[in-house]
Amino acid sequence: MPIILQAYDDKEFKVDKQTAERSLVLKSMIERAGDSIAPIPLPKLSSLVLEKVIMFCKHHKADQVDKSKDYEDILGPRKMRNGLIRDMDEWDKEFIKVDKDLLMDIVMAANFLDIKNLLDIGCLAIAYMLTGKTPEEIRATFGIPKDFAPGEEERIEQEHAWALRP
Amino acid sequence: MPPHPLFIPEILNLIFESLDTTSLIAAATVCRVWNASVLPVLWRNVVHLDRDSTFYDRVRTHGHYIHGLDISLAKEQHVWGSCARQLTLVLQETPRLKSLTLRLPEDCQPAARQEVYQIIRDYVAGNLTTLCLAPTPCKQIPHQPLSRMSVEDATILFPALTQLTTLEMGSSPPDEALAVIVDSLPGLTAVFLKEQLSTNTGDEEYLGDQGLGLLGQKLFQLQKLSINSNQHITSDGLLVFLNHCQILTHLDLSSCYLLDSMGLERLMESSSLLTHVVLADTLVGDGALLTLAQTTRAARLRSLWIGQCTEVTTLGVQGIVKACVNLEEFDFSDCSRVSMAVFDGPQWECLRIKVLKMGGISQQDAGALPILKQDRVHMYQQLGRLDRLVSLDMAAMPVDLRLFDFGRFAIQNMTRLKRLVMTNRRDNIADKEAIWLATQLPSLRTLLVDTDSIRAQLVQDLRDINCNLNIQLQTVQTLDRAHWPQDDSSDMDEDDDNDGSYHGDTTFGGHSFYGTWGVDSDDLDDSDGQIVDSDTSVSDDNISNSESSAEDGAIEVGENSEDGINESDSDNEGEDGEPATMAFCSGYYNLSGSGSLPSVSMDEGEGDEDIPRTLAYYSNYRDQAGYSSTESGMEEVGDDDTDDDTTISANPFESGLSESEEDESEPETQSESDSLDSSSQESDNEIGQSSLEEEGDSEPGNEDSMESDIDEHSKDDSVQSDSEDHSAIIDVEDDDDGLDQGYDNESDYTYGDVVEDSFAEYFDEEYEDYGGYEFDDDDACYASF
Repeated sequence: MPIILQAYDDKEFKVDKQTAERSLVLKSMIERAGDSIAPIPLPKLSSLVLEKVIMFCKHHKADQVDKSKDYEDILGPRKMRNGLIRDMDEWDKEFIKVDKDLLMDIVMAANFLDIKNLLDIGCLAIAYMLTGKTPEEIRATFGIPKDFAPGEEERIEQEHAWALRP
Repeated sequence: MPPHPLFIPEILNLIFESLDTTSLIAAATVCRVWNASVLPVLWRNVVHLDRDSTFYDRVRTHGHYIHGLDISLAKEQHVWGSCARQLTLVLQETPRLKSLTLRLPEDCQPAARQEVYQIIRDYVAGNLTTLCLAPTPCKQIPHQPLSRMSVEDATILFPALTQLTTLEMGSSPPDEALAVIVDSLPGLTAVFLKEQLSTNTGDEEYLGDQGLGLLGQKLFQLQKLSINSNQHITSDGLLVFLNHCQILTHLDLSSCYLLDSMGLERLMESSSLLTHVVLADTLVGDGALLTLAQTTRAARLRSLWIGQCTEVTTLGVQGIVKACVNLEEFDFSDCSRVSMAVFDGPQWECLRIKVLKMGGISQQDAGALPILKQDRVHMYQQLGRLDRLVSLDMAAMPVDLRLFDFGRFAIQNMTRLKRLVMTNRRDNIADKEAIWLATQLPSLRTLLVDTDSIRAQLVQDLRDINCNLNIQLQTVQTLDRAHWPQDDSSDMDEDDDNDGSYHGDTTFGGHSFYGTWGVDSDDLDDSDGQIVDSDTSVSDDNISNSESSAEDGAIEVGENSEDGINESDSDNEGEDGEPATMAFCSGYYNLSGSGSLPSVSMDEGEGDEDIPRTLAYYSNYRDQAGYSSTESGMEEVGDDDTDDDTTISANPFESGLSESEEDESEPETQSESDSLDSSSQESDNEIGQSSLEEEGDSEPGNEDSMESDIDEHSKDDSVQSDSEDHSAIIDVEDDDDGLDQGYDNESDYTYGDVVEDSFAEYFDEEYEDYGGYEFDDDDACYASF
């Protein structure tokens, strides 16, 4: 039985149960509702984002649930430079090649719907965007205001200097 | 407006976990929220290898973030006091500590050591899930025998470690102490005992059969066992072990010479859950391999390292490659009884393989050269199907590789190939081959070749053309493989691919379980710096922060590659202590790794996923322990150990060397005056010629004649390209253009097409099957599990 998901612009998406259950939030809703599930409104998601999310879930619907655990195994001490320490497969890489705003929305959606794999690759994509940038560039890229008091930035830099010390 | 994702701590945490240190610290200075999120990530795993005394101040304020700690205690009278005092200062601030790697000075007095163990017991014992005791080798007295853990030590420390699941020790405890350990820690699931070869002789206390039996009898949950280079355990002990423990998944018994092939076969028979097996440099035979390849269990096997096993023959290797469909790492290099026939016969089924080391295949029963040509075709046929390969090692093959002529399509099919080793080649690398390698394989990051097999100027140019590619030149040596793994770190300057990178050590030691074995090795890193890391820390007298030395190393490498190509002279390297290339060729598993620590996740306990294991020490250990601080010295040592095993495999290489020298000298006289233009003209001519010939050969039906055609052509070609080799030194820019042009010409080269045809015939279905078949394959494999 298909599940109907409503984006905030009232556009409806029909997905099969297995796809929807990639989201742990939807999964628990489906389990509670049983067979007679009404369309699920997702007022926080635009149809564009929801479409992407569904695309991801569809592709990964047959995945082993705990596949992402592999990643955790390799999380470890970090490299000094140029290094994300994880990789994603080709499909995911293509999937996540989206503009920055959509990426943020996807990450938010993944967080909201609790889709761990999607959250992982979204964060990885963001991490990649951060890699190698200066703080100023990062702020410019993501539109983050600088909220440090005068001198605070230097203090923080000093505080972390140990990690970079040769 | 919804909250911005970049201000949600959980999301920030996920993002930051993937960042490298430099970027992480940049992120800390973006804004306050970010800084707050960076701190725990930055402090989660801490390596304290330097003598930096401010560490003790910092740990006071941030110690509660620390989950994993790698600490090296200074022996000399420190401003902070004795070893025990230093440790107290740290451990009293780290309530969340789960993983501890402790590096005590090797010559630490027994009393001081006991004091340190008491500190561990008193402060953190209840939480620790992972403990690694790794003595820091003592520089002053390099050959001092290792002091092993005594029964008293064990009695102090181990009964308190109630949560411990992983134990790693730099020197295996003698049987008596081991008895205490296994009695105290019935919950151990992983035990890694690294032996130091030199201490074995005349050692009165050692781990022997009795200890091995105890491990099996007492540790019911033991899944991962590693005992390296032990020269006391025999098959008797192994049988006792087997009678009790049959749930091993990871096994490493490399360089345990006394285990005979029958014992190892029994081990394979009774341990049906094995997924990762390292039996390099042992007497393992075909029987054990065929046991692993039994249909009931073949799909389990993920990783198999049987390099330098003299008892293994073609039969055993064939059994593995045909049955083990999920194999991801396979090393059968330097198995002197494996011949090229391994590529004959049915197709290899291990299509998921990512790391393949097959150098040093024996020439012995390959017979005369004409057979080898056939073998080469077979070889590339088999390799061409392995399109997931990330690292391919074809060092010291008994045939001319002739990569461009025969292997081009096989290699191009490997779209993820990051590291290619072609050292000890019998033939030189043709210019077009080098250019092809450098320009047409976008995924390739590291190319390791012999110094003499490629024109220096060309290397320089190729480095300019493809700055992503790290071309490493290895000086030709007969003894090119230490059988000990090198430790790596992964600080790759040039590594700007966004594929992520392999993280973890790839060594034999305990942590190969976490490096090689624990990793989704899609992202094997192609790094050079990491290898250098181990070397710098070997040769520097300070055991400095390994991350930092990795950086230095990486920088060195960069300089090397800029300054000149012929620097990989082994003497220089030995003296300099930064032998980028030597390290590469000697490293057994130096595909990649981290400068510092691989991580571990031993059980499902919360927070365990990020606990670091640092045993960079392990792989450095032999060196540091004073074999020799120079790389070349280490090489020799490694080879002394394996001399018997490697002499045969070294021979074909020597002959290869002399051949290639001859090859070089001949055309030099002929064509010294050839300019690049003339050579490209030549190639034009040849195109004409060979297309004529192709027309003459109305149909490419007869494969044999086709191949001999190819061969003749390629002979011509090799002469021609040799002439290119020695063609004059041209301006870099001109040369570039010329090279490109030459390449273009040659890529339309007729025998390329001929080869393609014959390849297409050979491959035909496989290629078609293969396209777009990946995901199905994935699913199928998961399903089959």
